[in-house]
Amino acid sequence: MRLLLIEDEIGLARVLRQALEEEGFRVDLAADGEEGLFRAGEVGYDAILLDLMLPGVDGFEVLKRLREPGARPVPVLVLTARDGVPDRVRGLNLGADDYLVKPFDLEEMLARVRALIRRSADRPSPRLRVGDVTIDTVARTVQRGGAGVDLTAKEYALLEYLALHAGEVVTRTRIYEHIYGEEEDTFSNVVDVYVGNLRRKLGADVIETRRGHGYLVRA
Amino acid sequence: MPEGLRLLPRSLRARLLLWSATILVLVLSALVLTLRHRLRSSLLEELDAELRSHAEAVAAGLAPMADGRFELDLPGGYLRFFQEGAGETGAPYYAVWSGRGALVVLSDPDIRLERPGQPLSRTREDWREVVVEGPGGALVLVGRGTRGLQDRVQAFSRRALGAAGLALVLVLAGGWLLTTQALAPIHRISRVAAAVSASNLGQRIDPGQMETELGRLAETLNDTFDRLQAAFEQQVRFTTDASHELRTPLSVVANQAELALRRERQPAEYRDALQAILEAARRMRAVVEDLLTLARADAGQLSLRRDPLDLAALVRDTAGLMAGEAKRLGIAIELDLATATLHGDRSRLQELVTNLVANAIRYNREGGRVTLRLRTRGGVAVLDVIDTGIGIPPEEQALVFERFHRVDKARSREAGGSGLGLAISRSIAEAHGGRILLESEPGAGTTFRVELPTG
Repeated sequence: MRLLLIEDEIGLARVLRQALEEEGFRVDLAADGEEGLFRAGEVGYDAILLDLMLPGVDGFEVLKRLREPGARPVPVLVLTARDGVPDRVRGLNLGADDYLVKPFDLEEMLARVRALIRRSADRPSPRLRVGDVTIDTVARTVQRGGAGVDLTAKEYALLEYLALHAGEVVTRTRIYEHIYGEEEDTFSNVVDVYVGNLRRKLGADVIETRRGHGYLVRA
Repeated sequence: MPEGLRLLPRSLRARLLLWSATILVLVLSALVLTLRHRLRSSLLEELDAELRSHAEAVAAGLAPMADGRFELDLPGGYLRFFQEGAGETGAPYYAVWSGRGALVVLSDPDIRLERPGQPLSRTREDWREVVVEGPGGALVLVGRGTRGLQDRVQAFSRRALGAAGLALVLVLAGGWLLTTQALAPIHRISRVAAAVSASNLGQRIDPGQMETELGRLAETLNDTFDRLQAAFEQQVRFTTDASHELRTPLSVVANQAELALRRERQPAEYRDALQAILEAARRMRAVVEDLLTLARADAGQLSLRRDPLDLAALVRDTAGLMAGEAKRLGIAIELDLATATLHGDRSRLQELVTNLVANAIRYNREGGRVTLRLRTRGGVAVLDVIDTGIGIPPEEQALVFERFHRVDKARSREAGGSGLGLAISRSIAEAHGGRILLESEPGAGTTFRVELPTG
């Protein structure tokens, strides 16, 4: 999952990014509204975490532009130090999906981000099922036929992403964009390697290959 | 006032009515008494004139005889006049005394009369009598009962009192209606004023239908409510801003600690986390201290020492303390200080100069310059802090002294500003009886001018 964190408080941004990354998310940072809007236009993020008090283009304006007709739909979790009801209502009315008032608990923030992504993928249950494979997105564990399967963080992230988009053909580029950071070489066959690992651990039939298109997990 | 000693009722309406009733009763009583007296006098005058003409007629009919007696020869009309009246209450009568004082004629033998000494008009019990001089020193008296006259005066008094009573009732009823009408807007005003509270500051009195004076009162009250609302909203904004300013570093502290404790980590990671927490805590401390300073200034409790001090030396020392940071950012500090001495609080003035110089360094361009110029003009020390930065746009200039207002938020926070520096500087200048001004040209730089009275 790839997230965009638009937050001008560099200290806070660093903590949140580290917490999210330790949960297997890939996180991009933007320090102001302008940069945030630019990045949101470039990449199809799975969710955006948006601070409302930003220098220059403020959070409300960012939200408004993210929700302009024709813009790519992306769930937005608003983070703010303002807890007034009018601010909250305004944020939600502008199209925010959820709201967190600073200071908040990291666990709550993580839970809300996960819930937001599930809802936007139309998979409200925290347990995803693919054939006889069950994915617990909260505990981040995978079972096959009742027996636990050990996956690395990257393998798990790939499986979760494919399962969230079950029934869709997911291209390699999209997987790069959402799961792997820029540190990995886009032209390497890293995706094929991880898919191979998953097939070995879960059975060859879980992930189908559509040659020339990408991968598919059946719902 | 103790309840027992209160003579007037509390209600304004009752007081107004009581007062107007009292005044009206006094005025009407005086009027009735005066009229009654006038009526009585004029009726008596009329009666006297009538009696005198009768007396003169009787005197004309008197013929003194040689033996000292008199012969009375009255025209027939007069005889009838005296006979007709005889026996009735208030019947007319006459008497004649000779020059020697003997009673010569008395028309009604039942009457006991004293001889008057001279001609006169008098009231004797229920009778009015007029005495005139007749021929040969004789005195002629004609009298008549006044019962009829008194009855007329009584009847007039009754009618007048009745009319006065009616007038009183009408005035009281009218007064009741008028005061009800006049007090209605006051009730309206007090209802609205009672409804205005911290959670409901938007209510206003509608002065539309009110009389001039009350309309003015309503407008005055509305103005007061406006000012209250503005002050309250500013306070709310300030509190919101203050809590925002504290929530952000608080988030860093809480989330950093939470993150560090989520799993076992390397010592270096703990050290980094603690470092970040320490920085956030320092920022909170700076904000809290500044808030406290401002709260004291607001309450007029910014305790100031009044020590004689050399402002030029103070500015030079402060600039020296900040030279390191200026150098790091490639900014030159120039001093142009004339002597200026004043009485003031050294540490507060140091804070003021530090704030201004820090801003001048922070918002400067690379390789820029900060000039500190001190002059004394007509009992006022004028310190100019001139930078060569980007300047402050005109629409922002009035706002920079506002609490938590930041022209460039990211830059200010990076440099560790609390957003309260200029607000505090202004409070310090004002507590010294001075002021702080700002002149800025976008692109060319900004000059903050502090004026402090010397001596």
